[in-house]
Amino acid sequence: MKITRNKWQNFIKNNLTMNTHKKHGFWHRYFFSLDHKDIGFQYMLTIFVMVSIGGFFAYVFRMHLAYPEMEVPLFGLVTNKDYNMLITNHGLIMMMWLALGMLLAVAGNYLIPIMIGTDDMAFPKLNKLSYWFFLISVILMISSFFMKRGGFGGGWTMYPPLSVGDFGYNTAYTSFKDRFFTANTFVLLAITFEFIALLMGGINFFVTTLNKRAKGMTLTKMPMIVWMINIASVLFMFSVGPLIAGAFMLLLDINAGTGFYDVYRGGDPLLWEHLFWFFGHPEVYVILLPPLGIIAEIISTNSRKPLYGYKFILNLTLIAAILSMMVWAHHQFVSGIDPRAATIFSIFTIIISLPFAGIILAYIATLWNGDLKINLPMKWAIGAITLFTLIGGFTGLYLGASVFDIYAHDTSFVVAHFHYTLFPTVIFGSFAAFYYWFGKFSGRELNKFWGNVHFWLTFIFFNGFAFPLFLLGLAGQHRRIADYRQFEFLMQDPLPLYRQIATISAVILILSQFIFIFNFFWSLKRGKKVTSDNPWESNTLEWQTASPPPHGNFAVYPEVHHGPYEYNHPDREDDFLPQNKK
Amino acid sequence: MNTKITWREIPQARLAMWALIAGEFAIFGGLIVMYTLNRLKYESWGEMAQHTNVIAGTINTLVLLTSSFFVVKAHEAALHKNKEKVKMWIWLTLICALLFLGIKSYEYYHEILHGFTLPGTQLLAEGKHVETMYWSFYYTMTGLHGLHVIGGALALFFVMRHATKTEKDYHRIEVAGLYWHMVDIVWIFLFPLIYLIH
Amino acid sequence: MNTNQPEGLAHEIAVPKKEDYHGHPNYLIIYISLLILFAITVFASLIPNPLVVFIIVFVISIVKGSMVLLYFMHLKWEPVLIWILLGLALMTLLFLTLGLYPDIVSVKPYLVTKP
Repeated sequence: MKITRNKWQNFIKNNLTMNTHKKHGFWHRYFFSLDHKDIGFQYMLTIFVMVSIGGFFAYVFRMHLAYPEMEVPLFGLVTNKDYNMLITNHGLIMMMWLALGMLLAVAGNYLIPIMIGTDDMAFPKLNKLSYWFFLISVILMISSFFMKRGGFGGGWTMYPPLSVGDFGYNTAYTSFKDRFFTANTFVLLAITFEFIALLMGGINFFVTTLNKRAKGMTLTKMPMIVWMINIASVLFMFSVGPLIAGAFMLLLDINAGTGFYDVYRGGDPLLWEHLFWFFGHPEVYVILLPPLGIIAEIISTNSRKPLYGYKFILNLTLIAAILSMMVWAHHQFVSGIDPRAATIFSIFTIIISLPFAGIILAYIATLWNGDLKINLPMKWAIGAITLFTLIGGFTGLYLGASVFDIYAHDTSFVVAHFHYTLFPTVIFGSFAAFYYWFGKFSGRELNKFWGNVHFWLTFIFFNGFAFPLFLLGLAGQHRRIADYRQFEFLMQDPLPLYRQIATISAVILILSQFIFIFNFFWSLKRGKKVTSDNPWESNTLEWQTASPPPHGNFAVYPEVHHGPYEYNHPDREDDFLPQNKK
Repeated sequence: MNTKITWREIPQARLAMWALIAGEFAIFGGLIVMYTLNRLKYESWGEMAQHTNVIAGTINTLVLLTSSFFVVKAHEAALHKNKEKVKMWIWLTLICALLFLGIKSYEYYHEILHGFTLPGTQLLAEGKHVETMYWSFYYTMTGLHGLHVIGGALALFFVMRHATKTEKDYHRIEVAGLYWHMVDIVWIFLFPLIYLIH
Repeated sequence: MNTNQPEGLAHEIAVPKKEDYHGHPNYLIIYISLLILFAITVFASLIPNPLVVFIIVFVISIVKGSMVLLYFMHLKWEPVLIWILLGLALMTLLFLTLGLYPDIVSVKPYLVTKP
C-alpha cells in the first residue's frame, strides 16, 4: 500500500527527523539536523560570518591608526566613537564567538563522537538546542550594532561604570526602553545566550566522552584532542559561573538601576574586573587546549612517531587548568588591587608557564628524529607552536611580572603579546585542523597549491602585523586610543612607520584569508575527490571510516585494541597501526 | 543494596544532571560569595535584614525542606514503578513549590510597598546609599532562585506526566528530583545569610 | 534504559541492571534531623554577636546541605567522579573568595559624595 503524505508531513520527514535518507532539505542541513557533523558545520558557517565582521572591523581601525586623516574604503571617516566601537566589537567577536565557537563547538562536535568510535553525541537534541542558542546569540550581537546610540564602545572587557552608563542618576535615559535597547544590554544578552549554549555543549561532550566510547577504548587510549576539548569544557563550566552572576548584575545595573558596581552605593567596578578576569584568564586556556590537542594529533601522525609522554601531557594539562584559576588578577595589576595580592598573582602567573613549557617540550620530543612529513597541516602546526612559545609565551612571562606590567599595561605591547598567543593557537590551529580533516568530512580535497600560498602569506604577514606592536608598546603607545596625533612623542619616527607596516601587513593578512574562503567553498563543491579514506596514514578512528562519514559514522562500529599513537613500531612492517586493528 | 557503582555505570541523564548541578553551584555560589563578602564589610546591612519577614522566610524554608523530602519519596515510589504514589508525592512537591512562590510574592509585595526595592530609590533619597545594595542582592538572589524553583517545578511536572502516562522512563523522576534538591540546597544557604544575620 | 547505542555493540561500559544503585537511608529520619538543625539555626540567630551568629549558621548550613547531598541526592553511593565534579565547584568558589576578599572586605568603605 502506498503511503501518501501531505507536504507538511514530507517537510517534517525530510527536515526534522534524524533520518538516514539521502535526500535532505535545505532546512535540515542548515537548521534542523541532529547529526553532530551537520551541527558542527552549522556552527562553522555562523562563525565564518562572525569572523568576517570581526576581521572587517580590524581592517577599518588599523587603516585609521596608520592613516588617521584618510576615509577608509568601504567604511568612511572613522570618528573616535566609531573607533571605540570597532575595537570593542572586534575583541568581543574574536574572543567570544570565534575562539570559543570554533575550538569548542566546531571541533568538539565534529571530532568527539567519531574519534571515540560512536554514532553521535549522548544528547543530540540538546546539541541542536545549543546551536540554536548560539545562533540567537549571534543575532543579538549583530543587532547591537544597530542600536540608537550605536554599537558598544567600552572595550571588550566591558568595565563599569563606562559599560553601565550613568547608574540612573542623570535623566539622560530614564525610560526602560531607552536603557534596554542599547548595545550594552544586547551585547550582555548575546554573551549570556552564548555561554548557555556552550555550557549545554560542554555537558554533552563530557557525558558523550565518558559513556559512549567504543569497546576497548579506555580513557588513556583516547586521542589527546578529545581529552583537551573535555578539560577545556569543564574548565569553562566552572570559571564562567561567577561571571554569569556578575553579568546578570551588570544587566541589572544597566536596566534596573541597581548599584552593584557603583562606588557611591557601596559597589565597586573592581568587583566586575575580578569576576570578568576570573573567567577571562581560564578562558584563554580554554581556547588554548583544543589547538594543543589538534597539534598533538597532527605532529604525531606527521612525524610517524608516538606522541611523547601522553600521561605527562595529560597531567600537566590538568595542573595548568587548576593553576589557571589562580592567576587572573595579573590583568588587574594597575587597577588598585591589594599589592600583596599582586605579588601572589605574579608568582602564580610565572609558575603557570611551567606546565605549558613541559607540554611544548613533549611536542618537540615528538618531532625529534621523526620521519617528518612537512605537509600543510604540519606547517600550520609547527608555525603555531613556534610563534606561540617563542614570542607569545615569553612575552607573557615579562607581563606576568607585575613590575614590568605596570609599565607595559594597556600598551600595544600587551596587544602584541595576546595576538602572538591567540593567533597562532586559535587561527593557525583552526587552519591546521581544516587542512587536516577537510578531506575526511567533505570527501574532497582542498587545493594544495593555494593552501601553501595561504599559509605563507598568513605566516609572514601575521608577523609583519604583530611584531611592530611590541616596539610601539615599548615606546609608550597605549591601546584603545583613537588618535595618536595628539601625542607628539608617538608621532616621531619611526613609530608612524611601524604603525603603517603593521597596518599594511594586517590588510594583506586579511586579504589572504579570502584565498582560504574561496578554496574552502570551491573545494566543497568542486574539489578533487579524495582517493583514500586515510591519506595521512593516521591511527585514530575517524580515518578508518568513509570520507565523508555516513550518518552514524561507521558501517561497523570499531573495537579498539590499543592507543592512537602506535607509529613506527619496530616489530611491525607498516609504520602505523590503526586503533581498531590488532 | 550497598554496592558502590563505578563511574562507568552512571546512566547518561544522571551524569549530565550532576554536571549541570555543579555548574549551577558555581553560579549561585558566586553570587553568595559576593553577597557574603559584602555583608561582612557593611555592618549597616544588618539593620536592613531586620526588615525582612523572618517568619515568612522560616515557613518557606520548612516548605522547601519538606518538598525535598517529598521528592525523594517520589523517587522511591518510582523505583517500585508505583504510578499512584509517584503522582501523589510529586503533586505534594508541586504544592510546596506553589506555596513557596506564593509566600515569596507576599514578601516581595510588602517589601516593595515599604520602599525596599531593587534599585532602592527611596532609600537613596533618605541618604541610605550603601544599604540599597543589600536589597539589590536580596532581590537578585531570591529572584534568580525563584526562577529556578519555577523551572524545577515545571520539569518535575512534565516528567511525572510522561512517566505516569506512558509507564516508562521512571528514572527521569530521580534526575528531575536532583535538580529540585539543588534548588533546596541553595535556599538552605540563602535563608540564614539574608534573613538571620542582624 | 536507553543508552542510544548502536545495535549489537558489546560494551565495556556496563548498563546497570538495577536503577536501584544506592542504599536506602531512612528519609524520614534525615528530614527530621534537617528540621532540628533548622530550629537550632533560627534560635542561634538570637545571639547578640553577629559574627558568632554568622559562623554558627554557616556551619549548620554546610551540614544541612551535605545531608541533602549525601542522603537525598544519594551522593554517598555515587562514584568518585561526581564527588570530583562537586569538589571542582567548591574549589572554584574557594579561589573566588580568596581573590575577592582583599578587595572587598578589607577595603574601607569609600566616602563618596552623590554624583
